Amino acid sequence: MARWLLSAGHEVTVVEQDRVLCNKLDESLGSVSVVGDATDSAVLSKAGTNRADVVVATTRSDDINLVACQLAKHHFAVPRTVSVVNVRERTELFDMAGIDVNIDVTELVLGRMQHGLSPVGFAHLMPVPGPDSKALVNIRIPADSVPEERRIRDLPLPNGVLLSLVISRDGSTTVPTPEAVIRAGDEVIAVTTAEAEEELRALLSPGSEE
Amino acid sequence: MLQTNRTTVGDRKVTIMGCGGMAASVAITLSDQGYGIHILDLKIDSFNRLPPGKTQSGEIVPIVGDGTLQQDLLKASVEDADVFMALSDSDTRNALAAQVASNIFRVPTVICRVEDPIMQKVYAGLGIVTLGATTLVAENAVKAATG
Repeated sequence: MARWLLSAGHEVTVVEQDRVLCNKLDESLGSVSVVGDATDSAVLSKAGTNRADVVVATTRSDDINLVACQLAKHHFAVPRTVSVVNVRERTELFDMAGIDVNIDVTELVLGRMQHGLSPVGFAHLMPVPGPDSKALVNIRIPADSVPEERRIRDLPLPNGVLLSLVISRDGSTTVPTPEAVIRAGDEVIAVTTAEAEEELRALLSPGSEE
Repeated sequence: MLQTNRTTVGDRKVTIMGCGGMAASVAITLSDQGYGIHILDLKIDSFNRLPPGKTQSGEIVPIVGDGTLQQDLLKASVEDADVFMALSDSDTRNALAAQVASNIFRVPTVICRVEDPIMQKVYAGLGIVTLGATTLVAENAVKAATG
């Protein structure tokens, strides 16, 4: 995630308690890590949290994620907080506690499993916050799909659909441009409204069930 | 030791998370004052801090469980509690449990032990009553020194 954010041009600092992990991270990404406890305001301070636009909490402990986000929000005035929620029932509390985006790990894993279990796939990855109930979805184009190649600008995409990423069958990832081509066996990550979902599924992965 | 699930003692019920030294002493004192106590801890050995008489009589009901989880809080009668106190040794777990008790179960009085002074300030600002031995001792030490 840090690598992805850096490649998108963001300034990133990772707070991690494990010094060995921090060293590895610094070796591969440049000096990005601060060793310490993310619920310790001195550590957060050292990580430049007061200048952060977003704080993302991804530990396996919900108590630490919650407190780190609340410290960020209320002590360091960080405008946006994002947290992983490991125990599903807690998403309601995290919403009430004012964490801006809560990512339900159970839902993510379930979605991936459904996707892996179905021969042709359409899976919900996560809801996209906002008024019109959008979702991030993963669509696997069947290997025997005809025609084998389609140019994105030729696809009759329904309104409310944004193709976000193509994972080709050889594993390379590209951000789809109108001129790009998607092939049978590729996977597509897209944002879609609830209304457009059925049409999108029929277009890219006919016959698939969620 | 765990014969009863619910204390029938007292008009006022208190659910406590954590049965360390401080929490046990709070539980015993409140029980002496007539409160019915449910107390949660992750480790059964922690309940050795409670007087056997009080657990056998059901004045203090010990429950092995995680006070940050709704299902375990329900076992500790959080729905009937007048007061919830998060008194474990972990500031972050206390903060999580206190918010579950207050936001999900709407316990009228919620008290949260927080030792970190910055966290104390943040949660006090969010309307949660926080207490910390560190700040209490520091305040008292200053008072004692300055008369």
